[in-house]
Amino acid sequence: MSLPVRNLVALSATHRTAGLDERAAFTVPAGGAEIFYAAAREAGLAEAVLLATCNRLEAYAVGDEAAALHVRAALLKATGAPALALDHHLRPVPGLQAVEHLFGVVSGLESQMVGEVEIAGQVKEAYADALARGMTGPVLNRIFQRAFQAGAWARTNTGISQGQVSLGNVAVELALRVFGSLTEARVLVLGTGEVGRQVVQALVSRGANQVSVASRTFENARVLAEEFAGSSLSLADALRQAHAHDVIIGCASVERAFLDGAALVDLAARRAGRPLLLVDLGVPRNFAALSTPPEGTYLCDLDDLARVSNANLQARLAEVKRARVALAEKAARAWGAANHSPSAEA
Amino acid sequence: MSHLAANLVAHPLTRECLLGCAAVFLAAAVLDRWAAKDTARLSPVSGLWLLRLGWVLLTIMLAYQGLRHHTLPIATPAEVLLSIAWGLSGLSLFLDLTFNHRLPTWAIAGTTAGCLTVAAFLGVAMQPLDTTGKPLIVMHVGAAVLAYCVLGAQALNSAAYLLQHRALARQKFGGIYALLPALVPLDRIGTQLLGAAVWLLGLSLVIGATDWAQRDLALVAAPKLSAALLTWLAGLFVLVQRRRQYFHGATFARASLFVAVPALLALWLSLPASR
Repeated sequence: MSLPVRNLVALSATHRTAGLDERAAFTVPAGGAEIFYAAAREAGLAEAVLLATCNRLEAYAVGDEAAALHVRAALLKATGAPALALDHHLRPVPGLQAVEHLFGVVSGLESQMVGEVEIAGQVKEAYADALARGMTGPVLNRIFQRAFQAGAWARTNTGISQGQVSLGNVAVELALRVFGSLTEARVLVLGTGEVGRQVVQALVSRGANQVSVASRTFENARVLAEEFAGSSLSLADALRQAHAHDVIIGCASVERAFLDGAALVDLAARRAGRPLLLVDLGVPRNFAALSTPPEGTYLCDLDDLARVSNANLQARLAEVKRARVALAEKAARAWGAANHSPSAEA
Repeated sequence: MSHLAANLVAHPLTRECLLGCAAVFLAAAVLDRWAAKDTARLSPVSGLWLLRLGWVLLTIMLAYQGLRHHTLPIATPAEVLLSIAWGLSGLSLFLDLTFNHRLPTWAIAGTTAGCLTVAAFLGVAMQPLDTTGKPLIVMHVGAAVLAYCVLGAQALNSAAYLLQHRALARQKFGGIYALLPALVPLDRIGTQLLGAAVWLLGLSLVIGATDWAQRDLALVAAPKLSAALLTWLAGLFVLVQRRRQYFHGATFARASLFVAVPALLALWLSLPASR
């Protein structure tokens, strides 16, 4: 029996449909992917890929007419989010539009910081995970491969990836606006995930030579710190010594903030007036949001950084439009090829 | 034409010359703001180069005037304004070249252009300062004018700090804020500038007091002396609080701006026209 490709569907909840705190409810916890794929398999979905990043919860699936409902149910199980909340922010994207959307995602056009390159790696990891679990097939294999090629093309042939758009680089730009130079600044990075790595890399490349890395798992911190000639701390030690740092960048996955309001006030008091930059790249927040931070303490979160980055990108909107047109053509070709692929119909 | 040239040679600080020089500084300010726009295809330092050119031009004019009339340009309000404009722009160029600390070019150039324009309309009269028998008075006035220049630069530095502080605290990163220097260098240079201003003003007061002690004390202009003393005490107080870590960051910048208030008053009272 041939599988109708028109039942390719994507469900997407992103920064465009949900605010920072709402997105926190859609986080896929450890083991969540396992639950998602088990539910997808059980529902009879032929192919499925789960993409969960700090700004994006998406699933691409191929199945019967009820594929979208099955994907929704699997996402509900994986995230543990209330159905009403998830339904409010999930947007179904069918067929060709799903392919165009994926091409846009891989190229960074759908990102909060337009043109960012990290998302391509995150999609590749998500695809590799699904492939390893045997959840991809002829349709998603073809479309994802084409999406990776299209993303690389867009970055090479258009100006969508020019300038500072990555979280790490934008965070470093902010630190430079406070300290002028990072050579004498003491920097603490909380979290050793992909974003944490990018932040450390950006810091070191811009002259920071007193970078400490902390993580719940000390070994992860040690490995990352050694890679960039920094020092490693346990999370408890890092929080105890936080006042000795000029820049603290939180990019860890946490259930509740490392530093609540009282801790931030105490931290500022112990700094004795020396400026402190707190950059919160975590979802949920790593540092409590304060309406009026103590004097000399500057607190920026993910949304603030995205605003900076996108402001830098205003001049490139024309390039984005050009990229979208080209990607739409590529997506249509990929969609046509997937529809007429013998393997897809087999 | 030859008549105009002859007039310029005789008196280079004419209204036309001063307005021309102000136009150069104004162009520097506009160019600096324009070059900061993403769409502008200009070097970001084009405004700075024009500021340098304007400063050289002003230096030549002042030096020529001084050499022709054997006097310092501090005898009239317009001349004092010219000296302050020259000192302010010169100090900003000195900080840039020596400490790599760049005050906002548009602010310096705009302020200088304003001072020159006002001076042009006040008119630079030929009133050589009578320093006969008063050997210390030139040093006293020179140190005071330099101190007010440094205080002016410090006020601009503090304003830049407060704007950057406000931008970072409110997460506003674009527009004018992107042109401002970083906070920590502004704070460091601000401390050094205030230190230099207190030292120079103190020196000026000591020289002035020494000079007056040798003459008739009734000649001392009490309001001017009071305002200058108040400025010096306020500057010293802020500086001591800074060194003791009681004032820092935005508090120090605000306090430095307050010091500029009595400084402006003292400067105004120092002008011959106010006596």
